[in-house]
Amino acid sequence: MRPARDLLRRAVAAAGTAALLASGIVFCVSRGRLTLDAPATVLSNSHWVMKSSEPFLLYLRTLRGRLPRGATVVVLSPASAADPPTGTSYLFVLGQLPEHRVVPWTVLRDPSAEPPRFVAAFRRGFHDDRYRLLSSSAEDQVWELAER
Amino acid sequence: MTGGLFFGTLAALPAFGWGLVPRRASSWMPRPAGLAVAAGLGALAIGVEMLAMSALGIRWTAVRIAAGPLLLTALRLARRGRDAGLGWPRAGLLGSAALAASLAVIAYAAFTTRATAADLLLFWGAKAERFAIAGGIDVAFLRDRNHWGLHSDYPPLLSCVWAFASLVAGRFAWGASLGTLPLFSGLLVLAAWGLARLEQDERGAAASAALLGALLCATLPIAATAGNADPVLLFFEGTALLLLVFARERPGATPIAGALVAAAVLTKFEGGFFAAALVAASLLTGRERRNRWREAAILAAFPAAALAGWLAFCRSRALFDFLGHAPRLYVDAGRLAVVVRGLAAGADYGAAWAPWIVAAVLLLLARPSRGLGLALGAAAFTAAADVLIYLTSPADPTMWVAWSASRLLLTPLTCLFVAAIASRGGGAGARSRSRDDRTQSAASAAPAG
Repeated sequence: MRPARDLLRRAVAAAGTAALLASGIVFCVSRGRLTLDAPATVLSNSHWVMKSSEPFLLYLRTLRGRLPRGATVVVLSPASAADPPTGTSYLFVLGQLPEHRVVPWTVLRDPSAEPPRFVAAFRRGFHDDRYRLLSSSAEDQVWELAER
Repeated sequence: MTGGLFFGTLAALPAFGWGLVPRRASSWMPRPAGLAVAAGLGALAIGVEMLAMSALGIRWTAVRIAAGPLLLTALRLARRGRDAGLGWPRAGLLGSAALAASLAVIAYAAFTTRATAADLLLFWGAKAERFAIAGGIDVAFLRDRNHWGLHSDYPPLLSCVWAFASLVAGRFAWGASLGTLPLFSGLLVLAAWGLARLEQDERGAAASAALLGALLCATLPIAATAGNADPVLLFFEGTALLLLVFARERPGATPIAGALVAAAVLTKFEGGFFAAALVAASLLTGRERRNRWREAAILAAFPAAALAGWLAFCRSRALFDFLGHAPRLYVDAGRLAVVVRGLAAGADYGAAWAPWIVAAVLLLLARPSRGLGLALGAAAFTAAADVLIYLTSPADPTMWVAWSASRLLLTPLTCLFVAAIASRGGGAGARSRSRDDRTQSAASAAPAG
């Protein structure tokens, strides 16, 4: 009885190993074409909800080099409009601009708060009389606080 | 280059922990398990060292952090002649193919960004990068009230280890940080392979490791764990459990398991629940009453000390956030239904609950053993803890369960697979290995006194 049970156990373990392995492969295939090309960002083949943030991630990469280190900055994006001021879109920027002081957009509306030196608007409009346009493209504008 | 250095530093973790593996344990530990245990102890040593340096106001540098652990390893290597050690078991063609395939799929999923965790960008990566730039745990950054989402009192081990890799590499490498998933999955599989060999023949040990590798392959990528702490937590928990299941009576096994559970506690809050589960399961399944209490005390002491150290740091720096509020249970039928439905959905892993079905069938065919009881106990306690965690949420937990259940369930599921492996039993090879071990243990114990 015991050898038969052991044999059955081994067969189940082997079949289980194969089935679980196959399930991992199916997952990989389901996330897009199998390729050995290096992805552009850590979100390139991720879940579609996260992947939708990839253009913003690429933008932040370029922004990091365009702003002076240590400068205060507010980054506006379509997601930040729908999010709480220090919610996920704020945390997302915080990780990508480690040498800068990222502050939430609410400081722009708070008369008692010190305004940030830069405002970067990605795929969003921005206008504030205190700021002058520094650079502009089809996708973004960078504004700098004018001399007070 | 930066990514290579970052990942290379993580892959070199065994070198930082080799000198910390007790000599009495290295005499019986097969090489794959030794490598995994050394990596775990290396990560713990680096994390504790970085926490201590932050507490004492000493600025982190790669050399300062690496010097102590590497010196211990060098001393161990200098005395290597006295460490008999056991070599690599043979896996056979099928076993090798299955092991390699599961790890290759995990690595492919991680490095092609199919398994990327949102928390990498929102939480773990941001902390590690800032800590590396600040040269310590950046208290001002954590205390900024705009940064509440980073959870200032969350355990720091992964952030510290990544910050160390960033110091070596020159900056935080986002792409290479995804490699944490295949690396720690591989280490857990090595631990299973080596430790199962203590009770199983070579083919059986390879099959056991391959089964665990296949489980990780089916669950970790789809649960989006590349770049978060779950693979690291699972490695510490799984290796500690495997040590107790396969090497419970062997010299040095319990303290190593305790140290790895301490590392789990310093990796995620859930590590604390696992520590409690393992202590309870060990008490219930211990052989003799006296030994049972001694083992439980050792298993509890390490994580308790680690947690106390982190809490003391948080208290001294006013970092309390989560831990500042006493948990409260919110139990009603509607909420229980939400939690149970969410857990059932998370347990699916896109494979029609296949991992659970495989575990259940294997356990139905299991031979009773103490190892089986211990692993089943740990699975039951951690599953109960998962339900309790969701019942502590003051707000509606629907969304929370939806995005985290598949990750939280990884611990009880892995415990079930360890139970399934433990119930496999030994073969002729295992019996002859046991004789070899007894001889070797006696020989290595003599000079150590």
